[in-house]
Amino acid sequence: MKILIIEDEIELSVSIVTYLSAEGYLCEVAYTYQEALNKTEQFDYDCILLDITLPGGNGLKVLEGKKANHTADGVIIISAKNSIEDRISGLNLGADDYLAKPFHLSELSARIAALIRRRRFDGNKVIVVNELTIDLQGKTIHVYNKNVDLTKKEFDLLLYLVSNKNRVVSRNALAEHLSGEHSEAFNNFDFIYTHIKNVKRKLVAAGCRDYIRSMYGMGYKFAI
Amino acid sequence: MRLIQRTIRLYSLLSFCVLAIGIPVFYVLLQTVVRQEVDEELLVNKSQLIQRLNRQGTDRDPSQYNFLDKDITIRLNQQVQAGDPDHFSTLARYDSVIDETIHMRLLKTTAIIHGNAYLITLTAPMVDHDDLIKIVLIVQVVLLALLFIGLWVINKNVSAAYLLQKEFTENAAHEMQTPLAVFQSKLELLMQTSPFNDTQAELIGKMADASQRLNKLNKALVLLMRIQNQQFADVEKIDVVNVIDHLLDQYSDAIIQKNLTVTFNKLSPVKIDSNKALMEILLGNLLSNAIRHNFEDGSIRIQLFEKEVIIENSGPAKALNAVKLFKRFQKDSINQNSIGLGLEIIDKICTLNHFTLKYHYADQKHIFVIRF
Repeated sequence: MKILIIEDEIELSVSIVTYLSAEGYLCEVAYTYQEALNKTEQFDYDCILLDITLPGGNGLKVLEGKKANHTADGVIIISAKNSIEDRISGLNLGADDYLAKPFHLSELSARIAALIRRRRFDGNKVIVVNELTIDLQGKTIHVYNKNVDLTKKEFDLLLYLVSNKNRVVSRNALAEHLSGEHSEAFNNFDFIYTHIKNVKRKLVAAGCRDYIRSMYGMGYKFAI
Repeated sequence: MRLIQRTIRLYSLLSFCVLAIGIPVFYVLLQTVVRQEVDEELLVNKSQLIQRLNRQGTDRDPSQYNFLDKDITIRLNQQVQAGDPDHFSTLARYDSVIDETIHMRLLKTTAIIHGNAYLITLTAPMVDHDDLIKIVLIVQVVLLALLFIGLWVINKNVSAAYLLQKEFTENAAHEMQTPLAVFQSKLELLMQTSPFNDTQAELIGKMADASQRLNKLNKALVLLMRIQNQQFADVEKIDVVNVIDHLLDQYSDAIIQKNLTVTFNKLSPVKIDSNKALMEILLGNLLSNAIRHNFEDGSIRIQLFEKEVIIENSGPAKALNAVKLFKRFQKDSINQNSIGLGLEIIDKICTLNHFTLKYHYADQKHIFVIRF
């Protein structure tokens, strides 16, 4: 899987490359508008991460060029602007997703995985981890082909952890992923703990191994 | 900038009102004062004249004054009585020398001199009406012009300072996002380098919490800037019932976690013209406050009327300071997840939409009322 990271902030692109490389992605970077144009014209990528404010030009123009050339790479815009207009014009120009800075690397990774799965032609919408099967279309979980009944939140939580398997996912990232803008309503992270406890209980009851580990003080990890 | 334009517009309107009333009032006052002065002068002249006439001998005819002073006419008139009152009047007289109509003040009085009754008429010129109006207008216009020049000069400085400060806040908020993103990503990478001992893990976790709070703070500041810059211009018909229902669904987790009893009385279908995103933020902030500042097994009651929404919640048995409540960074010190900008955002959105926002504490409930 090849990913192009178009981001002028060097340290941020280093972080992204480090995190994604460990997931097994092949990463390339472009720091300027011109570099971005050259790379997108010459090569195909499974996913492009695109910052809008670039030295030398507006990142949205890269999208225009891509659209004109009928290249079909998936694009996630990563922008500090987070304005609705930008979001809409980006999505209109063919971007697949929009992530506002600052974001959690685990969130970025989950979005990339989801995008690549969505765009896969073989229609394989199932993630298999040993005895555990996650059906993305039906939003169902099976353990040894037996259905496990999870709530929507529990399903999202499990999918998020599996998308970042063997990585420590911070409790803040989980809270934001699960409640989005609405994490304000919670006084603490107890609600994540409750969800995690329920998922673990249901999976173990169905005969699944206990993959979800609590990482003291930081968050959780789906460890295989 | 908008605020300043509004100030200028209001100031101009006020100035014109003040002038429209001020010029006639000033004119009438000035005229009255001048007339009174002239009348007093006439009365003084009169008493001096009568004294002089009485002092001179009986052989001299008082009417000779008619030739000595054109402002005095003395006529023998047997019909008049000694006690007849003084009579003032104004008359216009054309002066051919200066080619102008001059307004005169006229005093008719009677006097008994050496046994004869005389009708005495004294006149004195008044400042001309036209001149008076001209002077009043010129003075007022010059004053107004001076005031406007002053306002303009002050405004130029103020708006430059205001723009500079706004730009700074905007840029600061935006520029902060990149280092924040770097910081947060490095922390996440650091987390991957486990194993840590408990102390280290806890430290990293606390840093991640702090950086998350910084993010939220920054996002809230950017949002405030955008509300103030009126970047939420799209207005549509919004079904408030829908918005609240949707929000309650979003918050269901938090509501269940605290075991809150939520009642939503939809007393009337409510459609208002506003920006959808802003309405969601407004009601969302109010609801999340009602949840967060509630206690276990507490309650929330939402009442929706045609022109009003009332959100009340149980909570700490102490009224909040209603005056300071909606100001920036006012928050209770206990709550770690609160960033102290929520209520200011609520306040700004209400102001923008011309809603009125009120808070009070009654029956151990914290009550927020918004009138659309």
